[in-house]
Amino acid sequence: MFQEQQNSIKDDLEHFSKFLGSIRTFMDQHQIIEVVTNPLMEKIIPDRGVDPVKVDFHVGNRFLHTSPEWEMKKLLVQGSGSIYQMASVFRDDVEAKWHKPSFIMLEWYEVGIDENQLIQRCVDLVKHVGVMYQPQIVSMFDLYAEHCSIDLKTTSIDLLMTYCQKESISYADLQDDDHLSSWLELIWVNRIECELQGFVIIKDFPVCQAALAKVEMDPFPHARRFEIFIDGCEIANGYCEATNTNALEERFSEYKGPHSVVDTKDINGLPECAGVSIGVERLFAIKRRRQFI
Amino acid sequence: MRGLYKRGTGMASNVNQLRSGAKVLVEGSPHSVIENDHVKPGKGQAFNRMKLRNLLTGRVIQKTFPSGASLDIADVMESTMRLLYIDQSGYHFMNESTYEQCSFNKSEVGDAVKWLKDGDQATVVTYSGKPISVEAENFVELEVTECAPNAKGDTVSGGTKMAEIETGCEIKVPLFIETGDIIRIDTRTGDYVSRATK
Repeated sequence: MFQEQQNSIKDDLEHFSKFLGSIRTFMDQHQIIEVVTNPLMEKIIPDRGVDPVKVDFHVGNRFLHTSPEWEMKKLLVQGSGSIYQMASVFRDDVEAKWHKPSFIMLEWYEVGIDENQLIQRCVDLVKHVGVMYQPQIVSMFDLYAEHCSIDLKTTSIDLLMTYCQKESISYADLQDDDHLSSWLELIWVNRIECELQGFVIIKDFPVCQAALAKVEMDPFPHARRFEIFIDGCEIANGYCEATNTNALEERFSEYKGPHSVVDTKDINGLPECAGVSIGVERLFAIKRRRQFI
Repeated sequence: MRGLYKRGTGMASNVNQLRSGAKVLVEGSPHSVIENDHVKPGKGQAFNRMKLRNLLTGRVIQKTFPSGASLDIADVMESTMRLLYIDQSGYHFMNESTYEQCSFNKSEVGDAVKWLKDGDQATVVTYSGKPISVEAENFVELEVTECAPNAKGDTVSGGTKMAEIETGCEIKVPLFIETGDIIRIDTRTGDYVSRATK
């Protein structure tokens, strides 16, 4: 019995180690450099729904990074070229089947490419690490239209509220219910996310969910952001990175919390690039056909 | 709104705190939580995705609530009761610690009629004090009252035949089972498990 257990832990570790190795080989093949950045931050990157963990050191308070994006963007500004990192990140959050307060994030930026090229790279990576699925690329606008008959180009909070009433989706205690994106998320988790089967890449987000992505006005306003799902589990979130720091500053100024916020000057001069973060444990669990991480 | 006050317990619980087995009111009906999972769409707020069974209809639904939401706790009680006797008016149970008695007609007992006989224990579920369902124990032992005789030399393994048990219900049993045998049954699936010692 004991022998068996020992073998299975060794087996698991070997599989995981090979998995990490195959990610590194892929990055090597595409001349993307591995970097390691400082996980301790003096200031926070305000982000709705992502709460940093504060730790006390002799030298003062620090925050564990919720993502290595800021430090990596600083490297991009300094002319690093395409880079990636696999880092443990920390969030003050609950523990669930597909969700942990600490997880390994593969954060990766490629200079001089856009989100469509990065989507193709992600598809190649997923194949390279041995997750065999045929990808399907859909627009977020089409998903809401097909599943809910909602037109994201013209919708409003009132229309979405009426939809929820009609569909008996409970919206009591919805956070930030004066934001269109909160209503879209509520409908997303109730009607769309649970229907996603196979390897689905969703692109073209509504502008209210742009986060750090570039906004494109043609042929209609949308954010150049994408997410990747495998059997309903989100494994990646990517952007054609916004290089205009004014928009960022505007977003950061909305933060009303007690902590000091990073200075957008840090990433002034960010080169044109696309970036994505991938949940490493989730991708590994899917490869190993597990129902949890 | 008349009568509504009786359905809830007057208590509410945050959806984050609800574990499987919790009984809550959803759209005015009592539901039992089967699964409660935390989900967070990318760069968004947290939600609780729950699988719930309607205790009145048995229908299973999936609903996703904002994590800050609360649900009313349903006035649902489960108690272990003993089946005293069955007569034409129905099934008569008694709670052995309070001596409280209650009766169900056959259709109210539902599926459990297949497995219940005098003296058995069962779980009786009440909603606002009114019995809504009866569940037999997971495993019961019942006598086979009628089945085709075991043909001599019939040693084919895996073969089955139908047998009637003392409650009047028919189930599939292996070929070697004979009238008068006591058999063990899993009531959740309705499957034969083994021959029980007499």
